[in-house]
Amino acid sequence: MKIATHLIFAECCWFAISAVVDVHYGTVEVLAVAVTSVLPDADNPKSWLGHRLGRVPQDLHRLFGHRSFLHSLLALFLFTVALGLPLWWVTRQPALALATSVGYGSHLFADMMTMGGVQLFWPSRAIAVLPGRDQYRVVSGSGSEHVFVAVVLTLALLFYPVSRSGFDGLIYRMGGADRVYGKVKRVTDGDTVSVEVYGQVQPVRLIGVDTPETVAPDQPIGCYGKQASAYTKKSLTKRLVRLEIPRIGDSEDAYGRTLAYLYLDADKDGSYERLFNEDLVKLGFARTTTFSHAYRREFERLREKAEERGAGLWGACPEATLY
Amino acid sequence: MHLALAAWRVGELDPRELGQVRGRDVDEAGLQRALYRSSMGEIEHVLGPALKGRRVIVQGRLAGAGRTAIERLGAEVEELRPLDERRYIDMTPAIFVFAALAMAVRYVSLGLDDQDLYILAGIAFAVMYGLRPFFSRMQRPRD
Repeated sequence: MKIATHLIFAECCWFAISAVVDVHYGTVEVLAVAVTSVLPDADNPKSWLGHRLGRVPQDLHRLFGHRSFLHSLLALFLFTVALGLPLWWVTRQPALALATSVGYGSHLFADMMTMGGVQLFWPSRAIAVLPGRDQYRVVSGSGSEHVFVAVVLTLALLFYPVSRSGFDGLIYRMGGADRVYGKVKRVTDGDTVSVEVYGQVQPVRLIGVDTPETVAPDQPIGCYGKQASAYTKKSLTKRLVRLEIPRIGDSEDAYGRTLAYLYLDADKDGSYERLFNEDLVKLGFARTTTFSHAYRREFERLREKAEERGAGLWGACPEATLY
Repeated sequence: MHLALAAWRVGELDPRELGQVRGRDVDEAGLQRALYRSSMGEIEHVLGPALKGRRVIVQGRLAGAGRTAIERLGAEVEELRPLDERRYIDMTPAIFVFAALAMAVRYVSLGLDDQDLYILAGIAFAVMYGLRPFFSRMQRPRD
């Protein structure tokens, strides 16, 4: 297969896996997938990588042959142990380690779908192929490879947005939400407000965020809780807001509070597009919760950035921890 | 029956031992007709002495009913295979294993009360089940 085919297939695999597995990735991980997806071809002196590595590919080819050791599960295991685990230890995050393994593994998987197959169980010389019937496999450099690239590219474009929101986020978004407009009558604390909707005042708990406690009777006032509460009061008191109540999952919590996303009309153009829940996380006034909801991954990415900047409670409270 | 014909061609089988031949001289077509009318037990009885204790050498691989028939008659099969012959492992059954895992995960997710996992495993299993006939056709034919 051509190098471009391997790159596209590797990114497609990465987007699909990161949609299901809960990892946050950025440009570094996407690049790591791309780089590692071409490494197994180091045993082929005629490959794109082979032309750039000097004598190494020729030696590897003489020792093992093409699509043998470097295209085996043993090599994938050794690669993961030698590179993936140290990366995990250094970055303290599994994303980069997983990305390198997915990139390398995707190459083996893609080559298995070609006519030549790979010696997946090296040192056994048996050639692993998928699918087994020859006419369904890809002939490298032919029209079938172009069809393969087109299919994989389409899948990659479909998987990419899902990988950003997570599969759980996709489910919640597909379920939709009920929208109501109301006026904030009272702010209880950083993440709880009372909103008047259709003449009735109801308590609302903001989804996906958790500010330090300030009014819980059985808990002390949390570090940075007063600031979070003050910010919410300043931003929301007596303001018109739009509430989005997801149709999937519980609409109320155990205390009878409506669970909702709260939007503000920041531009005063009647659009109500600014998500206040997001603001709390971005400015470091709130931690994120772990349960599934539509914007869980987005909130977690914002929380990570706030943590890196030392914004809000992440800078003010040395003992601040995640849930 | 094919074995009996092959044995007759090399002079290892006397067709007059078959009841259906009724002691006459027969050509290949006549022997074939007689073999069609004979029972399997009778063919084995006639062919047995020709094959018992012999070594049958075949080009390439011999599997399935042909190999079973020869070995049942007491012969030993030797396959002549090139040294550089490629041996393939068909990974298509891995797809069925994946489908079985998806089905198992549905029940696990019920136990874990994980709604997202339940939906995801359900979709995976439905896709696998829908494409089942296609996956079956994808399998490598036996050598």
